[in-house]
Amino acid sequence: MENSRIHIPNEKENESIGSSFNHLVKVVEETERTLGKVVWDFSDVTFLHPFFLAPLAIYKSQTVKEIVCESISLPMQSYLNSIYFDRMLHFENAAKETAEMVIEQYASHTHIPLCSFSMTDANKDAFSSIARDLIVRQAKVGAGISTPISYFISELIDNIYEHSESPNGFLFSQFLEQEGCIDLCIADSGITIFKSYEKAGLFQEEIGQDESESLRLANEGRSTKNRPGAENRGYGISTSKRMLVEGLGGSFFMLSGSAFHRYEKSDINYYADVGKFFHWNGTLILLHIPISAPSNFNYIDYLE
Amino acid sequence: MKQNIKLIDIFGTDLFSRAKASELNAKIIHNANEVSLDFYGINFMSRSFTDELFNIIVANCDKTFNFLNCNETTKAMLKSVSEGREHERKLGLPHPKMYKFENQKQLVDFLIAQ
Repeated sequence: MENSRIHIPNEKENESIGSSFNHLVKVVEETERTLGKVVWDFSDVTFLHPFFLAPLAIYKSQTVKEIVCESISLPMQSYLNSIYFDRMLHFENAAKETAEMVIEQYASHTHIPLCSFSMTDANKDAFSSIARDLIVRQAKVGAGISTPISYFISELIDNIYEHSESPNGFLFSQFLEQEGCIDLCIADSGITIFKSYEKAGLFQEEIGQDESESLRLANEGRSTKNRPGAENRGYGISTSKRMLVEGLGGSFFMLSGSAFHRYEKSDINYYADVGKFFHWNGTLILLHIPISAPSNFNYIDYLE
Repeated sequence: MKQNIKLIDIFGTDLFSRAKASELNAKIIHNANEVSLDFYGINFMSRSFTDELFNIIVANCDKTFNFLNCNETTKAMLKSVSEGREHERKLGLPHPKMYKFENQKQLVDFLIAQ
């Protein structure tokens, strides 16, 4: 049987999250439709945006499809190797010092390669801390941005740990100096947000079969684990999002199962269901983080 | 009996996760009646960690807890979570737009138009 050839689109450095998502849907959907071996053809590619590349690598690592990458230019191949596109760096209950040593090699780079890390309590915290330190060093940001970055990473990874039942988390970061921003991708391959609510038997009347509704509830802070009158759960996503978009002027994107959510300063704030033609195994979050905060930004103002 | 717990010695400089905070419970001496949590050297404390910390304090309501050497952001986080636990959260968010796409073309057209 002849291999099916799928063209990987070339992208621009200032690609919007929407456009990268568009490309991702196209490639994943075509790949899923194909029987047998699939060839991803990189002949048109001179640049790939982090928000297309990271999800694509995560998809490739998780799918049962046999995918072969061909016609990759030398500079592109060198970049793909350096970010571990084909085989992610994996941190399995690594002692902090060991992980630090591996990651330290990237101190002079502008990216953290595609990493998977086991979702044990100690490992995810050690990894989160090392990743945060490296992102901050690479982009040379001060406390005004490093504290929000700590908040995003800690809350979003803790959320995966608490809700997704995923054995591993994924992280990729790229500092884009010319744009003055950090593009950060955090993901899991566990149960989706919709399934998490379903499993907890909560908000089922509101959600029904609508996965985008479950994303809305999660983004509004309706936790599946809250004990009313005692705990204070559900702030992780919603506060991260407000701090990033309203405070720092960045962009937020979340994909889980068959729904996605986009929130950006330029009046983009919506949820969408794409279940008729697309499904993502797990949850993926993309954060476009400016490296300089507006003068009136104060982290404390966003702690509800 | 007074007990002083240096958080940096147990957790390092970052207090990240809810599960980490729950480890603190095992460190609290049963017959201590005053526990001082020393935040010296702590760079960052997450909301999840803070909330779980308050769960521990509630579970040890026979003891007095003091917070020592907090930096400005740690202080703000403690205040915010403490207040948040006493009041029901007012969401008050504007209802966002909800879309349903039937096929890939609809999605592509929509995303291009933005």
